[in-house]
Amino acid sequence: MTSETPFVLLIYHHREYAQSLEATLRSGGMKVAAVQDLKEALGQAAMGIDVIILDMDMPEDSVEVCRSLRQNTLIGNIPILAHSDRKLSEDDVGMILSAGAMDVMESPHSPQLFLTRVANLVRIHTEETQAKETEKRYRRIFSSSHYGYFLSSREGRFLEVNDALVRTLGYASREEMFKLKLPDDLYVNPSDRELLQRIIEKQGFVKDFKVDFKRKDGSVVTILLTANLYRSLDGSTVGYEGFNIPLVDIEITGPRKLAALLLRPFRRFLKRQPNFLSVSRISELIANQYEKLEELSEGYYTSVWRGRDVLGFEESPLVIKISKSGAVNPRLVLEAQTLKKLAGHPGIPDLLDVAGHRGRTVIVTRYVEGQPLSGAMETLDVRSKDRISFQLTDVLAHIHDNNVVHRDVKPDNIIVRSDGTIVLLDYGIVRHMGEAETSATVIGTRPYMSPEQVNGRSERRSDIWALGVVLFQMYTGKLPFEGASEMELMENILNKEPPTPRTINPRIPAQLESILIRALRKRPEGRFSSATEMRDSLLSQVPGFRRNVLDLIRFEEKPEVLVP
Amino acid sequence: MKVAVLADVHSNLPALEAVVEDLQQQDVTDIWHLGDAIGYGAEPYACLQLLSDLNAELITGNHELAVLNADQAAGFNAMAREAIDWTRKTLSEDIQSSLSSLPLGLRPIPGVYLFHGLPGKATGYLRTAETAETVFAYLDGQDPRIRIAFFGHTHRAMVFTHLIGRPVRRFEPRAELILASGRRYLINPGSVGQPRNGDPLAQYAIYQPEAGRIQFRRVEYDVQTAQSRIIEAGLPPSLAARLSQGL
Repeated sequence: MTSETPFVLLIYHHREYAQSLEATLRSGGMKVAAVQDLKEALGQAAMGIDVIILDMDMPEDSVEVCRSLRQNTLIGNIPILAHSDRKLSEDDVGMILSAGAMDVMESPHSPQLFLTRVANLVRIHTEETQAKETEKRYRRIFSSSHYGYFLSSREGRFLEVNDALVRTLGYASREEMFKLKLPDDLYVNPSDRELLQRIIEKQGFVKDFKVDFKRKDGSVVTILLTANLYRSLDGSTVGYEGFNIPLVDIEITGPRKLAALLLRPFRRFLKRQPNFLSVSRISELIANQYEKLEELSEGYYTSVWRGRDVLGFEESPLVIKISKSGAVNPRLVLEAQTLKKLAGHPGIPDLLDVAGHRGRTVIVTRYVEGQPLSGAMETLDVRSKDRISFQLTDVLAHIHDNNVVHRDVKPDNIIVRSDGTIVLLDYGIVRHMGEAETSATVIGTRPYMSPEQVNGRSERRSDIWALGVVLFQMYTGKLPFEGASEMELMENILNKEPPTPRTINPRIPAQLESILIRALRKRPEGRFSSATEMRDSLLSQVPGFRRNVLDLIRFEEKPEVLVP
Repeated sequence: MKVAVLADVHSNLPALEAVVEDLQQQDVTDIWHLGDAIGYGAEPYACLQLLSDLNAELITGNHELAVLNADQAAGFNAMAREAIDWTRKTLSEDIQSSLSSLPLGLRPIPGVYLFHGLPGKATGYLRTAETAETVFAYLDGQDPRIRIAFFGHTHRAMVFTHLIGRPVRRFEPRAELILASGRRYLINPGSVGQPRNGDPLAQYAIYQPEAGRIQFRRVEYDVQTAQSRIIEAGLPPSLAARLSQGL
């Protein structure tokens, strides 16, 4: 289509008539091809015609020519302006419009009016074509959606459904679903629709409404339904528009069997609930996909939940961290960016998704099965302690190599799996180093805070200190600095030397003792310059350490460490 | 998809049967009925039954409303009122209750709307281009995707069509209407059971959404049988007489 210079095909009988119209069209900046019969017209079909002007006085009957043009596959979509140089009867107009003409025009008329009409048809046709394209595009989006989409009328009919919903409900086509009479043909309990309607009409929307739908074959599928009032352009309510998430209809094959197992108790849970409104509160989906199962922790800024992906994309349990207000969102975004940057190390949690939920940022990571080091510490043998020490220095080395300071290394943030491997959690207060090497905020957890953190600054070597405190505690069973009050604790961190580890536990090797003491030097310059240096000191100096951790040393580190 | 669009059967079973026979030969996939399946004629139950057996989409007409609520028959002429009282006595409460759930309007597929007299008002008449203009504007406000609306009530096949910026055109359809994209249409397929365009044949339309074509069909039926059943039922004889004249 050439919208800039419309191309007009003129089908005429009288030459003078054609010449005058042609001159008018050309004067309006349009390109014109003139032909005298249908056969010739079809010959022009490939020329990119925008509009056809059809003389109403064709000897072969203009109405028939019009019908033939409209029924031709090549040319049938092009708008036709039927034009007559005589007055037309109402009957003539009806005949030509019945034959598919888009507009009719009769003489006499000004050249300007004629040009306007032609341009109008081109414009309407272009807009129609674009609208159809847009609709196709939206249909594609809706069709490819995993969620069922619908638009339904108040009276109880689907006005639009997408392929996902057609599939979920087991119908053959959208058209088949348009025939359903709601609620009876769809709702297992038809009164559910009344309740649903009442809620939507009252509050404008309904969210995660649990409802049972009948499929075509009579089987039942449980749906979480989220819908809004759908208003027409004049503001009156026409119906309801929304999404369905099938809860018990996730198609599970092969590797997704685990998801089926995970969902099973959840399904039983849903089945037990007699009142879906209470379920809707309990089981509100986060970002339309994640189900909160158990609150793991709640802080000022975030709440953290164990949960699962009800859509089954992720089979393993998840950790869902939700900001408590929009103001906290940037923190979570930073945390997600950090996790992405650090991804790939076994000691870093797997970031699975960053999403929005009611204006709050949500980050989803894989749940790590295991015990926090704080709880596991007392029962560990020396080999396990060495293995944890190695992994902690190794993951911190990785974090520092990426110009990140963790700032909250503590036993509660270290999860020990049953196989002895660890994951360092909580990147909520990390700082990205770069412009300035230190940052100036009191942040961290008290007994693990370094002197400079107490004074409101932190840097890489503050993490070394915290790690020193953790290892001190793990090997000796005591914290290096304690205090009856917070003030006393701060005072001790700032000024008091820690007890010598071997005075608490004489079985600690002297080399390990000096490493712990070096990590806890008051001045950062006195500590290890990096976690890498601390790790390598442990490996090369502490007797038996390397033997205990040999299998943990990742390939890329082996040459560096093993070659003397 | 190939849809038979029927309107105003008005309890005329011989006419409906002839139309059903004809539409079955046309490989129709769906049937829409635009209201007034009952009233005037002698076989309301059989007509509703046949439409329901064919899984037709039904909407409510003013005669369905009048059966359910005598007040709605206030505007009826004496003959029509007599017939509606007779119909009310004839139909069981079950049937009447199923009639009460019929919608005033319906969008059977995207872009298409069905109503009986006027949208939202089964008793109103759509006869003039001026009224049609109002209806076009109303439907556009409701859902701009609606390009075609089918209606009944006047018992006359009629087309109103509108192109943006141009006046509404009104004409009696020929055998076929080829739809032009960009135009909107209000289409009355004519009446199956009581045509009033001077042509006694049963009238209906076949709509092919994908092809953008509507055929207007006229089917011969046994008018005498329909007439004698009206007389036998004790309904006003003039309701029988008008059938042979198409008035």
